[in-house]
Amino acid sequence: MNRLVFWGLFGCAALAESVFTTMPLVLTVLVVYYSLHSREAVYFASWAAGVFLDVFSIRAIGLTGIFFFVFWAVVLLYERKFEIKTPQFVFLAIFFGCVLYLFSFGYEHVFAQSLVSGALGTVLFISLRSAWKPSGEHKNV
Amino acid sequence: MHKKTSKLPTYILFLTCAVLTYFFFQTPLSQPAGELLSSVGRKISGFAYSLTRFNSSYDASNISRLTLENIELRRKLTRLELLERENNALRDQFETQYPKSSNLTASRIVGMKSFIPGVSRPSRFILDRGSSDGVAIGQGVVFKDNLVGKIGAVERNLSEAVLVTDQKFSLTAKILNRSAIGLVKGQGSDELMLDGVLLSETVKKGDVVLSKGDETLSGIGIPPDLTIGIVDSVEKKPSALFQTARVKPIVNFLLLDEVFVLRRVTSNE
Repeated sequence: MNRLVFWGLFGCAALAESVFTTMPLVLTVLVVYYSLHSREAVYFASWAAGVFLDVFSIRAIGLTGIFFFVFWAVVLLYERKFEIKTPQFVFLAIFFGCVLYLFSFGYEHVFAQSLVSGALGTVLFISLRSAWKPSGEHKNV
Repeated sequence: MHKKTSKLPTYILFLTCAVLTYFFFQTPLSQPAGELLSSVGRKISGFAYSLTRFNSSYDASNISRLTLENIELRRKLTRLELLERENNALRDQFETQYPKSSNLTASRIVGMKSFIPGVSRPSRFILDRGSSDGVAIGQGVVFKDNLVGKIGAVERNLSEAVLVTDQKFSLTAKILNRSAIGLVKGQGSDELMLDGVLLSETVKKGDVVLSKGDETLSGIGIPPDLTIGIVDSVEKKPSALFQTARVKPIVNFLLLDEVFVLRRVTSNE
């Protein structure tokens, strides 16, 4: 059920970001999922989403994927020392990730979009955390 | 007790995949895969985007009709004044429609990305025509006689049009029936700025702003006399070197479903 919800959210985010909006919804969903479950499936999702977004944004294919993995490198380093299953981390990770993403790929309204994405991700994290059990207690995640 | 496994090997694996993917798609070997992805992308985005236009077309039908009538009337007025000038200058006997239809490629909008869809103004369109249809970077994008933008990026089956309101768009422009020349720049919202107009020139609210012309040797670019917008306000400071004007586009980009890519500015066909 948790996997289904994640892939459903992920698919909707990828489609919305490809066609309708410039907000980094994929990055938001990936950060929320990683904060909740810390699963390696997020790496496959990042690579696949990167290719998908590059096709729809008319960019060099693979560029977004490389960005995502540079972002995950920073998150991995942070995770070694600090707790990531907190709303504060989710908000700051999404906010700064979005700022870099939007600035790197030349989008407008960088601050506003990053703020909204951070808020959206935090709300999603808090909602899903109360609905899902922690990964240590759950068998099928 | 759940054993904590290192994610580093998986991370390195997928990082390698991502880097290899990037370099693979830079090589000619990736052409079939790129074409497949591009054609699938065109179908998916076209379908997804068409779902959003279903309701909006009903609600905006009257607005769309009035907007089109307004565009048509302004177009006729502009053409009439340009024709008068052309006749006075003893123009060539071959009267041409402008831009020539043989130079245009009809293109459906399959993606219109903005901060908040339906509220924020879009700054770029994704079009369902690409390099396989003769679309190239730098080509102008028009709707009737109005300049919509220019092609900023191209794939095999898709292309991206940078609108005139995008912050990265700029073009030399002139005022209809005046000698004023300046530089039009997108402001990132539904507005443009006409900058660099000499203080001695006359610019008034309601003046029509036209493209001056921007063409490369290969005939790609934006032809002259395409309508960019209407002057909304003028800022003229005696202490400044130049005056500036805010320009509003005539076309409501949110209501467009189809635009035309100008393959060549001048036709030798």
